[in-house]
Amino acid sequence: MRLWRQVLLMACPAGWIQPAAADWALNLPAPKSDIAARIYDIHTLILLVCLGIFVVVFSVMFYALFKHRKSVGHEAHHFHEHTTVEVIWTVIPLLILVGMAWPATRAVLDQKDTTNPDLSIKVTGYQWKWEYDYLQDGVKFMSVSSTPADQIANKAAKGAHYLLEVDEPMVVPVGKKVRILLTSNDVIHAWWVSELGVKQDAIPGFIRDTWFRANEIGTYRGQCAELCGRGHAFMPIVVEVKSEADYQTWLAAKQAGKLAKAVAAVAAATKTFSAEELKASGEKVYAANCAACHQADGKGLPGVFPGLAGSKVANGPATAHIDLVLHGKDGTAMTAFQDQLDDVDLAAVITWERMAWGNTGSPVQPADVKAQRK
Amino acid sequence: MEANLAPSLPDEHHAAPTGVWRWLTTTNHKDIGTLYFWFAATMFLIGGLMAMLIRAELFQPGLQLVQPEVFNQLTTMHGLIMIFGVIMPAFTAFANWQVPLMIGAPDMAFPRMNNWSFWLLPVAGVFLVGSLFLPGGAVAGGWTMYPPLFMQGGISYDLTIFAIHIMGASSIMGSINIATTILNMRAPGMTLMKMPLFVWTWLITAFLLIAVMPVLAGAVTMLLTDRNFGTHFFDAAGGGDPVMFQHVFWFFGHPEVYILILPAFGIISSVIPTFSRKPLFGYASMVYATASIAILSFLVWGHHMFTVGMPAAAQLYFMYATLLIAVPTGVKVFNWVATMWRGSLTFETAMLFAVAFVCLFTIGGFSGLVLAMVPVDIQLQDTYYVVAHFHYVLVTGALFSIYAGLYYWLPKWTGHRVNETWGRWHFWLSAVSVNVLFFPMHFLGLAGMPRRIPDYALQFADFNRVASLGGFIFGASQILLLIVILKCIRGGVKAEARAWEGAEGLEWTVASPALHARLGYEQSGMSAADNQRTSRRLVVLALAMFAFGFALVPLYDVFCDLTGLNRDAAQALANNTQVDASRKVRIELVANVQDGALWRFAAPNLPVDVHPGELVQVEYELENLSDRPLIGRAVPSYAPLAAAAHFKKIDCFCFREQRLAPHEKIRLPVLFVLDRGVARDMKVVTLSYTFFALGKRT
Repeated sequence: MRLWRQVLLMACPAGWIQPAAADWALNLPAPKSDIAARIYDIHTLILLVCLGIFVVVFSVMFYALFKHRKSVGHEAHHFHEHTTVEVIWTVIPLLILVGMAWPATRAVLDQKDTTNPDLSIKVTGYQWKWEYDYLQDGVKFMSVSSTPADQIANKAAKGAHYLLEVDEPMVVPVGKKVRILLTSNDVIHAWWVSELGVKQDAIPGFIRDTWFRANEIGTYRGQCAELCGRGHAFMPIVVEVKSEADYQTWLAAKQAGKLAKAVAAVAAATKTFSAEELKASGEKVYAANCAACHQADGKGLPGVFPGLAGSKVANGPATAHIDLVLHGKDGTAMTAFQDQLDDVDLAAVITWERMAWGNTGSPVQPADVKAQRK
Repeated sequence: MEANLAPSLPDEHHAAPTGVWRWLTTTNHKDIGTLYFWFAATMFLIGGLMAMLIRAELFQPGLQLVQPEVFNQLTTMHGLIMIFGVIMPAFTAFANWQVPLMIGAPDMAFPRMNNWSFWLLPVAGVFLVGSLFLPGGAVAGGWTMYPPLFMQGGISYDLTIFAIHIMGASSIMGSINIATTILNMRAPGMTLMKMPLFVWTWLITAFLLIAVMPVLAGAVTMLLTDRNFGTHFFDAAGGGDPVMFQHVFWFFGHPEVYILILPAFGIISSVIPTFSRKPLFGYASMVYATASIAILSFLVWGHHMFTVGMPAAAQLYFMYATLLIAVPTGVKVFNWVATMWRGSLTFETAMLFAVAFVCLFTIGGFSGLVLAMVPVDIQLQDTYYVVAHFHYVLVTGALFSIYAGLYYWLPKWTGHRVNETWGRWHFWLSAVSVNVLFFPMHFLGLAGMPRRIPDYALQFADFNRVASLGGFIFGASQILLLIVILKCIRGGVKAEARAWEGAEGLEWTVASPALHARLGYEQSGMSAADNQRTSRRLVVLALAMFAFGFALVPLYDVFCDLTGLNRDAAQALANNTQVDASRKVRIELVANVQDGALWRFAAPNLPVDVHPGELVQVEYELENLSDRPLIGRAVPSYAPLAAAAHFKKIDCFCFREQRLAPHEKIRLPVLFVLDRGVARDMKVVTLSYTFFALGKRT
C-alpha cells in the first residue's frame, strides 16, 4: 500500500497533492505522521475498490442502456429471480468488506493507543481560540487567529495563510509522541490537523486524549472542525514541528519570557500610560479578543451582540466598564477576561472601547484594573 | 379486474365544499396528497433559496453577503427545512396518492386524522421559517442541535423545538395511518408478498417513523427542559453529558436517514420495471434487503460520532455494523441493473431520473463506505466530504427519486401526459449541474475544508467557485420542473388509464386522472374496529419509544459504568490493594475551571508517580475570588478512557456541592488507588477535574 501512495504521489502533478499551495487539490494532504500515512493508504485502497466495483456494475448497466433498448428493436426477456446470482452478489461484497475492515481495524487500535507519550499538552477550546498548556513544563498560552479583520471584510488583500494563521502556534519536537489532552471551556470544538492525522472533539467537563508523532519538521495548519458558533471559521490551529534542540530553545525562551512578562507586568501595572499609548495597543487587543462579536466598527450585531459605539457602559463610569470586562455578564456570551488578559492589556482595550468610534469615556490605567480584580 | 371496481364509500358529491374550505376540510387521500406535495414544493423553494445564498457567500473567500451568524442560521434552517419540510412531506404525498390506489383501498384508514396530520405541518413550517424574523434570528447551531451550543440561543430555539414536536406528531399520525391502511385494507388476494415494492418500502418506513420520531421528541424535550427548567441531562456541571445528546439524537438520526431513502427505493423499483418492460429481477430479495436495512439502521448510530472519543471497541463495532449495510444496499443496486438487463428499454424522463438515481446514489453509497472506515472518518468527519456524501444520497438519491415518481405518476394524478421535451431539459440540466455542484465537495473535504464555515482559506477557492456555479444552474433548472407540473395540470395530451406501455399494478387499472370519488374493492372482513385495534397498537409503540428516549439516559449511565467510560465508574472501592512495586504509573493532575473570574481552582503542580495498588492522596485547591458566597461543583474525567475503570477513588470531592464564603480558600483531597489491573503499557494517566460555578445558573 505504501507503494500505491508513491505511485499516486508521482502520478499526480505536484500541485494536486502539495498541501500549502494546494489549489485544485484532489486528495488528502501529503501525510506527515505514521497514522496519517496509514489513513492515506486505507483511503486509497477503498477508493480503488469502490472504483473497481463502480466500473464493473455500471459497465453492465450502460451496456444494457445501449444494447437493450426498444429503439434498437430489443425485446424484453421476462426472467427474474436467480438464487445463484443473488447469493453471489451477497457474498462477494461481504468478503470485500472483510478485506477492507482488516487494515482499518489495526489503524483504529493504534490511533487509540495513547500510552507512553513523550510529552502531554492540554488543549482547551474557547469560543473562538485555543489554549495550549504544556503540563510538564509550565508553559501556557492562548493561540488566536491573526488574520486581520480587513482581509476578511475584503478591504485588504488576503495573505498566503488567510484564516490559517495564529499569533502563537503550538510547538512540538519532531519524532516525539505528543499526547493531546482535549477539553473545552464552553461548547464542543474539535481539534484537527489533517497532515498529522488527528481529530478529536473537545467536550466541556470531560477530558479526551489523542496523539501524534510528526515525522518531518515543518508548519502544519488545521481548523476547528465542530460548529461552535459565529467564530467557528476563525479559530485556526497551527502546529510548528521543530528539531529537539530548537524545541528546547523555544521552551526555554517561553519560560524565560513568562518570567520577564510577569516582571514587566508588575512594573507596568504601576506605570501610568498616556491615552494614546493605551489606545494604540488597545486596538490590537480589541481586534484579537472582542471584534468577533462587537465588530471592528464597534457597532455589534443588533439583537445578538450589543454595540459599543455610543453605548452606556463605554460612555459611563469606568468602574462599571472594568467590572463588565473583568467578570463577564451572566447568561450572555460575554465571558470574563480576568484570566485571559493582564492588567495592561485590559486597561488598553477598555480605553480603546471608551475612546474609539466617537465614545467619550475616560481612559483607564492598569492600576484601576488591578484594583477591581477580585 | 375493472369489473370489481365499485364505489364502496358514500361519495362526497352532496354539498361538497369548495374553495379554501374544501382544502381545509378535505379527508380525501388524493386532495391530501396534493396538499402535501404543494407544501413540500413551497418549502423546497424556501430551503433552496437559502442554499443559493449559502453558495453565493461561498463563491469566493472573504465575507461578502452575510455575516457568520446569519450564515449559520442559513445552513441550520436549510437542513431542517429540506429534511422535515421537503423530503419527508414529499414522500408522504406519494404515500397518500399512491398507497390506496396501489393496494385497492377506498381511502386511508383514518381520513380525518389524515387531514390533521397534514394541517399540522404548515403550522410547524410557519414557526420554523418565522423564527428567522425573531430577535437574534433563527437557530444557528446546526440541524443536529448539539448542546451546549444549542443552549446559547434565544427564543427561536424554543420555537424550533416546538416546531419539531409538531412535525413529529404529524409524522407519527401519518405513519400510523399509512401502516394501518397497508396492513388492513389491501384488496382481496393481495398478500403482503404481492404488494408493490413502493408499498412495502412505505410500510417499513412507517414503522421506522413510529419508532424514532418519538425518540427525537424525547431528545428535544430534554433540550427544552435543560434550557428552561434547570434540568441537567446534557450539562456536565449537573452530572449530565453533552455527548449523551448526540447518542440519543443519532439513535433517531440514523434511522431517519433511511426514512429519507427507503420510499425512494420503492419509487425506483416501480419506475425501472415499467420502462424496462420487465418485472423487477428479485422481488423477494428486495423486500428482505429493505427490511434488513431498516433493522441495521438502529444499530449504527455511533458512526456519526467517531471523533467524540469513544472506546476503540465501540468504534470497531460501529464500523463493522455500518459496513454490513453495504450488503443489502448493494443487493438493491444489483437488482435494478439486472432488471434493466435484456429488457426493452425506453428513456422517458421518469426513467432518466431513475437511471441517474441508480448511478449517483451509488456514488453516495461509496462515499458512505469510505466514511464508515473509522481512521478515514477521523480525517473526514465534519468536512465538505461529508457534505458531498449526504447530498449525493439526499439530492441525487431522495430528490431524484421524487422527480422520477412525479414524472411517472403525474399522468395518473392530472390525466395529462407529461411534456417530455421540457422534462428532458429539466433532467439533463439537473443531472449535469448537480454533479458540478457536489462532486468537487469531495475534493474540498479531502483537502481539509471544514463544513459549516462562511469563509475559507485560499486553497479552497477554486472548487468552491465551481460548486457555486453548478449550484446556481441546478437551482435555476428547478424552475423547469415547476413549468412541467403546471403545464401538466392545465392540459396536454390525454393520458390513458395505463399511461405507460410497460406499467403494471392496480393504479393503472383506474382511469387517469384517478377519480376524486373514493373507489375501491369491497373490503372483506376488515372493519373500522380492526383499523382501530391496529392503530392502538401503533400508538402504544410510539409512546413506548418516547419513554425509551428518556430511558436512554439511565441506560447510557449503565453503559458508561460497565465500560468505565465516564466518572461514576471510579467510585467503587479498590478490591485488591496489594502494591505492585515492580512498576510505576505517572498520574497527571489537571484542573479546569469554567468561571475563572469567580473561582481559582488548581491542581498540584507536579504529577505523581504511583505504584499500582498504592493508596495515594493528592490535594486540589479551590478559592472563592469574589465578595459573595458561591456554590460550585467539580466533575472528574480520565484519559485515556481505558484507565478510567482502574481508578478507584476512596474519597473524592467530585459531584459534591462546594459552598465557599467570600475569599475562602479550601483544600480538596482525593484519595485513590490505581488498581493492579491497569495495563502494563499504560505509563501515563490523566485525572482531570472541571469545576463549574452553580450559583449563577440557578
